[in-house]
Amino acid sequence: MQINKKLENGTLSVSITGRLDTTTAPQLLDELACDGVTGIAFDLAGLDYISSAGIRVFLTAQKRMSACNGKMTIANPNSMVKSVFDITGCSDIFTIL
Amino acid sequence: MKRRWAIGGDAGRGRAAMGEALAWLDGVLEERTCPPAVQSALDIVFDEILSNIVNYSGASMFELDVSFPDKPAGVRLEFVDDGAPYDPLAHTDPDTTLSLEDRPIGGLGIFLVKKLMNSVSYARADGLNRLEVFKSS
Repeated sequence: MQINKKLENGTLSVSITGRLDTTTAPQLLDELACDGVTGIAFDLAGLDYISSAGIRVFLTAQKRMSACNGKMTIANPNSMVKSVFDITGCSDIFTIL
Repeated sequence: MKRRWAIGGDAGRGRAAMGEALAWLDGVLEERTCPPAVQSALDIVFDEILSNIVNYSGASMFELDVSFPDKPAGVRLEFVDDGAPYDPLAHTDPDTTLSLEDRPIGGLGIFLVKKLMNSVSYARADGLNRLEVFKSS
């Protein structure tokens, strides 16, 4: 998994490439721990698949953002990632662009 | 195709073996030109099942057995381990309609396995957990 991120005007833009699973999820969680973040914009165009360990990271990030009235968006999930969001009910929770 | 990894009841060693086992599984699936969507679904299931085994079961080994039945056509994957008896199918499914505030962070893994596979079955015999999944292709 590869993560590229950029913090601009309080919004953290994060693009993820590869696989988000038990092995890689802790790395993503670490990368999201930034001070002064009031919004997160994920770009999942390069994400092959996600397991529940990855879902937990997105849920944690969403809870953090909701707690500080921040906004979180998820863009460009592939069909496999989208179907995992659908199955787990996360499509109703996340703002998927 | 069958392979076994010794992990000695050690979670760190187990996680390292998971990396090797995933590469092996992907190699087997790619050799059979398994459709990418089927492979991704099996990779997710692999992650859910094996992370439980290596982190919580205390198993000294796990084994993967992959086969490709014709009727119905698809992939059969069996996970075998000698850890504590654990039937993942005995779990109650999580409520995926809960709002964010009411939603516990865990409990989704096995649910995902059941939804992504056409069938999932569990057996405990001779001191081994055997979890078998089938995904049609």
